[in-house]
Amino acid sequence: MAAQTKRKTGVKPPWLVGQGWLHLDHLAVSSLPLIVVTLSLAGVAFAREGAIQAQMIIGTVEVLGPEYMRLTVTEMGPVITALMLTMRVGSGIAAEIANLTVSQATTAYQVFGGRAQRDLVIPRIWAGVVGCVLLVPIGVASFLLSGTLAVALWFDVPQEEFLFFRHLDGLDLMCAMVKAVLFGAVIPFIAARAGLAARGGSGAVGQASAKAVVHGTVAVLFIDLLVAAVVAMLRDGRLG
Amino acid sequence: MSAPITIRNLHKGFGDLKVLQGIDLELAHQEILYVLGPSGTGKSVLSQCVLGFLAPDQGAIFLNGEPIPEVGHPDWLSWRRQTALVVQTPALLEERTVHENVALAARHALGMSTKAGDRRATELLSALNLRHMGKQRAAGLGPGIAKAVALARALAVGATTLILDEPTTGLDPIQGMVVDEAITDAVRSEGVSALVISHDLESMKKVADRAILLYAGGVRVQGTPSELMNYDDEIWQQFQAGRAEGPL
Amino acid sequence: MVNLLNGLFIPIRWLLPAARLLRRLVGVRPDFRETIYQLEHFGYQSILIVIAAGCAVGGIVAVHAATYVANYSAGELAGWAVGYATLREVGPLLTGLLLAGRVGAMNAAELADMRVRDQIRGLEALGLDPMPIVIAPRVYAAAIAGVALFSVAAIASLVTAVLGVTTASGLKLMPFLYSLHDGTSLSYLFVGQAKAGIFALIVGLLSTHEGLQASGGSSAVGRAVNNAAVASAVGIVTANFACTWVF
Repeated sequence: MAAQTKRKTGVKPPWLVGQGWLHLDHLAVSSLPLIVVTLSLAGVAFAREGAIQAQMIIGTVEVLGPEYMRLTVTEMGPVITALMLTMRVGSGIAAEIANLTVSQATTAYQVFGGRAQRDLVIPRIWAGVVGCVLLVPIGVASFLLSGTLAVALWFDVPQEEFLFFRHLDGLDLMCAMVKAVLFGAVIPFIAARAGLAARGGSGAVGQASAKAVVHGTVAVLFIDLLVAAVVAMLRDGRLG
Repeated sequence: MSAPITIRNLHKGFGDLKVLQGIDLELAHQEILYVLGPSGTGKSVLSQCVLGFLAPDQGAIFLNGEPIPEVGHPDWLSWRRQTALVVQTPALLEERTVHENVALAARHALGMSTKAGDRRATELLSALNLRHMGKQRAAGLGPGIAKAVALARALAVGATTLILDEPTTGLDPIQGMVVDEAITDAVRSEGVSALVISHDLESMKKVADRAILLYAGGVRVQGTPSELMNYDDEIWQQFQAGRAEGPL
Repeated sequence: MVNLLNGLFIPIRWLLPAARLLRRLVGVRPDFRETIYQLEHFGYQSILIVIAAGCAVGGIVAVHAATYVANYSAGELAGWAVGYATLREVGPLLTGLLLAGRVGAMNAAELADMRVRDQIRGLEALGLDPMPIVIAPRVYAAAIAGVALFSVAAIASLVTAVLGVTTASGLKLMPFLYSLHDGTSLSYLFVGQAKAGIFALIVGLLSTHEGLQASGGSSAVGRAVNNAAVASAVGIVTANFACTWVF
C-alpha cells in the first residue's frame, strides 16, 4: 500500500503527522483572536443587512433565521475563516519557507539527504487540516452568535426564533467539515509550494508571500464552489 | 564665491570614543577631493556631519558659506538637494528604467514638467555616457553602471556638491572605471564639486584633484595625487602599500 | 497564550495607522506617471484573477439561489438574491478580500523590498520626498484599481450567477433577467462600488504602511507582507461592519 501510495502521489511514508503538532500552535491557536473578532464583525454586518432586506422585501425578519443559519454553517463561516487563515497563515508559511529557499538552507538540507518538499510541506498540511477543522466551528459560532445578538438588539427577534438548529441537516454539517478539511489542506500546500519556488533575494520572499495569498484565496473560492455544487446535487438527488 | 564645503575645527565623538578631533578642511569649486583612511578612522562620521545627519560636538561646517540647517528646519529638503549623497548601494528604483529614475528626480526636485524632466534626464545621461542605457530597467544594471546612474540622479535634483560614499568598493576594475569616469564627467560637465569617501587608491590617482588621509581623528596628510605618491610619512606609506605591520 | 481580550483591539490596532497615513496624504500631489504605472500594475495585471474569482463567487451565489428556487419555489426572489449577493453584500466583501491579497500583499512586498534595499533612503538622501513619488501613487492607484476591479468582478459574478441559476433551476433566461432587473435596485450597485472603493483605500493605506515599516533583511519583507495581508483583511471586515450603518 505504501508503494502504491508513492507511485500515485509521489509522497511516501513517513507522513510526519507528529511534526504537524509543532505548527498547530502558530496556525490555529494564535489565529483564534483574529477569527473570533473578524467573524463576529462579519456576522453582525451580514445579519443586519439580511434583516433590513427581509423587512423590505418580505415584510418580516423572522423568516431570516433558518437561511441565515444554513448560510453561516455551510458558506460564510468556513469561507471567511479560510480567507482569514490564508492571509495570516498562508503568507506566513510562504515567507518562512521562501526565506529558507533564498538563503539556500533548503538546498543544503537536500544535500545532506533531507527532503525539503516532504519535511516542510506535509507537517504544515496536517496542522492546517486539524487547525481549520478546529477553527471553522469557532468561526461559525462567532458569526452565528454575533448575528443573533444583532438581530435581537436592533430588530427585536428573540434568539430562539433566530437560531433554528433543527433546520440544519447532516448534509449541511458535512458540507462545513469537508470544506474545513479541504481549506485546511490547500492553504498551507499552496503557501509552501510558493515558498519553495522563490528565487532571488528579499524581493522573491515578498512575491512568494503575495502569491500564496492570491492563489490561496482563489483556491478557497473554487473549492467552496465545488463542494457547494456537489452538496446541492446530493440534496437534489442528482448524485448518489 | 564661498567654498562648497568648509569645515572648521570639527570634533565628534560617541561617549568616550573621540572619532574626529579638530578637522579643518575645505572643498573648492569643481574640485574632486578624496577622503582616505583605514576603516574606523571617521570617514563616514565626517560625511554624516557634512550632510547634517550628525551634529558636531564642536566646530562648524559651512556649505556655500552657510551653516548647515538642522534636521526639521523648513529649508532642510531644499538644502539637502544641494548636497546630494550618493550611497554605497546605488538605491535606484529598480522597477523603473534608467531614464525614468533620473527624470523622476528632476520632476520632483526642481518642479519640472514631464517633458522638461525627460529632456534634463537625456542631457545628464548623455553627459555621463549613459544615454544608450536609458530604456533599461535599473534592476538589470551592472553595479558600476548603477552607481553612475545614481550619480546622474543626484545631478538631476540640482546638487552642486556630491558626497560619494565608497563609490568603487566591491567593483571589478572595469566597473570601477565606469564610476571614475562618471565622477569626472559629472564635475567637468555640470560644474559640481565632489567629496569622495574611499579606500580606493587607484581611483584616487585617476580622479582626484586632491586627497587627504584621516588618522587618529585628524588630517594626517593632504595634497594632490602626485604630491602624495612620494610623501614621506610612516602612516601614509603603510596605508599606500597595504602593509599589515605598522602603526595602523 | 491566546488572549481573546487583546483580539478586541485588533481592528483599532490596524486601522489607526491607516488613518494616520491618510492624514499625511492630504494635499500631496502624486506623481502622474508613477500613478499610471501603479494602476497598470495593480489594476490591469489583476484583471484575469479578478474575473476568475468573480466567476467563483457568481457560481456560489447561483448554487444557493438555485436551492431557494427549488426549495421554496421562489423563482421571483432569485433575481433579487443574485443581485443583492453579488452587487451589495457577498461580492464586495469577497472581492475586497481577494484584493487584500492581490494588491495589498503585492504592494507591501514591493515597498518592504524597497525599504530593506535602501531604495527609499536613496530618494531621501537626495532630498526627495518619497510621499508623492512612491507612497501616494500606490495608495491612489490601489483605491482606483479596487473600484474598477470590483466592476469587473461584479460583471463576472453576475454573468456566472445568471447562467448558473438558469441552468441549475430550469428558470428561463429572459424571465430571470426581468426578475433580476425588478428585484435589484440601482442602489445595490452604488453601495457595492462605494464599499469596494472604501475597501480598496483601506488595502492601499494599510499595505503601504506595513511595507514602509520593514527593516532588516528578507525576513522583514515576509513579515511586512504577512502583516499587510492580515491588516487589510481585518480592515475590510471592520469597514464592511461600519458600512451597514452608513449605507
